[in-house]
Amino acid sequence: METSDKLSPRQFLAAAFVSALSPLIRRFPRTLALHAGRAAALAVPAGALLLLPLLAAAFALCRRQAGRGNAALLRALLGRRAGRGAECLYGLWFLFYAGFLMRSGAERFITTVYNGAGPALFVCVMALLCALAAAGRSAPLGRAAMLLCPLMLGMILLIALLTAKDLDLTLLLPLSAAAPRGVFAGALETANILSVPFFLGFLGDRLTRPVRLREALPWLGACLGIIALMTVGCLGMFGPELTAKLRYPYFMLVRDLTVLGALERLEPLVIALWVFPDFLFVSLLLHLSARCLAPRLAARRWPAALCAGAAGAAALALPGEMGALAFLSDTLVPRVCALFGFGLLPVLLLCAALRRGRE
Amino acid sequence: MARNRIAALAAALALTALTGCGAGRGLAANYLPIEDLILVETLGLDRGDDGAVLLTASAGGAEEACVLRAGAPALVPALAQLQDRAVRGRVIFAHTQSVVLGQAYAEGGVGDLFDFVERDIHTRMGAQLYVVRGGTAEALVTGAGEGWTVSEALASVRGVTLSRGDSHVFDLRETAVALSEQGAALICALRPVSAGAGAPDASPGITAVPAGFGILKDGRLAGFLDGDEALCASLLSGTLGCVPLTVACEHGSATLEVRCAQPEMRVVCPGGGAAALEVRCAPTAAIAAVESEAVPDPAELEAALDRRLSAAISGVLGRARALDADFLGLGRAVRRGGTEPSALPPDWLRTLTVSVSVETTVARSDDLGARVGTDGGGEADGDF
Repeated sequence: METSDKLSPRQFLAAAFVSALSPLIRRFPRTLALHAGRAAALAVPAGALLLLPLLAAAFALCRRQAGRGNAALLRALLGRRAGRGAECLYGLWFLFYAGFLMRSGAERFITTVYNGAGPALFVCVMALLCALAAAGRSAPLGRAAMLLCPLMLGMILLIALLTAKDLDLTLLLPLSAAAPRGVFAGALETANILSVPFFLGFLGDRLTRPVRLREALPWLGACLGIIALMTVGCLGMFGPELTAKLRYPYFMLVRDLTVLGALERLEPLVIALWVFPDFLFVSLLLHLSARCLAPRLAARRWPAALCAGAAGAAALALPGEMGALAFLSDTLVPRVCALFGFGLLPVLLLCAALRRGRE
Repeated sequence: MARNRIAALAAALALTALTGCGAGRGLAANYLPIEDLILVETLGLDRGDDGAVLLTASAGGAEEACVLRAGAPALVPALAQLQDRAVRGRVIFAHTQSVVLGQAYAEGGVGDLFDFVERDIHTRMGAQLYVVRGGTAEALVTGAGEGWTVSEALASVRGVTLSRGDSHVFDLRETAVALSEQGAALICALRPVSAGAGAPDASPGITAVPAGFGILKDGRLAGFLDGDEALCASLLSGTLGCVPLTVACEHGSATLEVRCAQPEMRVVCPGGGAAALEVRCAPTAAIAAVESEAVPDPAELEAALDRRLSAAISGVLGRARALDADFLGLGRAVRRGGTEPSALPPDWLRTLTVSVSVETTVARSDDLGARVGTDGGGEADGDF
């Protein structure tokens, strides 16, 4: 049974794409507009330039350790004890991140559609559904990603098409001379949003073969294209100042969409569809945290259910005030995400180099 | 297998939350019978003598029109009061087409309106924004006669602005963007008038006609533009369509149909000196009707129209400088010139020097032009 639980590189990259949409809608294009203003769209290719060498290094490292996931890599390069400790730390981070995503997803629903509702119902439903998805094998999550990928991509492209006629390019161009510093900050944010494959590297042992950089380039292109479309759409409609001020500028953009003057108020549908990236990403995080923490958990029979319960409890325990949630969403979570996503990579590369030198 | 059963059971249980039954807070609050909804089409905002926000909402069609009123120290409590006073059902702003501001409300500041719109989950930013010149929104919103509503009257205003050119209807999004990017914006101004005299099928009431533009600066109404200045504001902001203008010259007068693309605006920012704005526009006009016995010479009409538009453009730019309000988007022209407006001195708009160049081309209709050409004469005395 275990031997068939394999993901193809395409499924792996599809999972990374759909998962990246979850933090993307929470923070973008507002964050890019805050940092880079009118030049926000430039931060997207700049982010690609930052991300490419990191991805190349990570994939090269994984290729050398073919058939092993990040967990095995940690143990192999950091030593058994330190590796286990790091794995445990990652497991706890995945747990907290899943809880945070459940809560932020619930808040998004409350802010945009169900004004006045409490977060408990959304969190509980998400925890239950994700527990069921995370409890099984890894391969179904990859297959789900393959199904969701065209759905999300098609929806975003359709929205881009419908908004194209109303875009005001004078709100986007020309770029200001003071932009480069903001563009760099925006590029860091873009790279951070796309750090998902580094987390999904814990599924490396479930891959049919290691992912090659050449295969990841279309994934990167699609992600950057989506970010660029959303950024250009929001900036062309609202301008950088207003985009930075609105909580969910992309949904505000969708709110005023009409299709041929006949169909309007599409935003509940779009917001509902946006549950899928949350569902997949939270399920993956719970699945990974269960795998990382399973040897340490007392109840080894249902580790994913236990993790989902813990993440759900964490989600409900998070402070509900907008200020506190905004701090978590815009400051704490992205920084810790960057630390766990990219911070470990140089350490691992150094360890690998040292080991090679010793051998 | 057991897991599949649990999944099916969980999904079935989840469906019970989607029946749409129940009322009050939470998920069920979003599912209400349509007959219980009061769909606000036009929302009027006024300011009382004590600074309170007074709301007047017009909902429903002509057959079942309903007007709601509320007043509170601020907008959000006033909206809550509007809901409290609605006996029939729940007040919904999701289909609000027009927002009408009384002059006193706009002078007191529109910041709370935009804060509400940017935060509210229902109100669309595509709703049209108007200001009532020298009057209250309440008079307009409640003034509809039998058989027609204020929403229909405002839809008619939109049509009129397209053909007249001395006003233009902007929506909430366009105004919010202009306020955030330029610190100033134009909004369509209305003047209430009596209705019904010329329409036998409609009962008398209060309707509105376009009355130029209101100028919002830093979220407050700072003044109005009308006449040729309003026309040139449309011209400079790129919203002018094809407008009829009566032009008088030495040997007669004629009504011209004037078209003009957005003029070229170039701002030169010399280091340390005052910025200089060059406006070039090249309208084309066709003679639509001659209002004098003799047909005026097109060259004379061109010169007269050039003078008139130059004076009006200079006038509207003078208003922008006097108010220090960039409602024409001159900052964008500065940016196109390679300079960030923020890099200029704070009073760059006040000290802006302006040069305006208008080169009109007046043409007759093609048929007439051909006839004049074959007759070999430069003068035409035929009918137009």
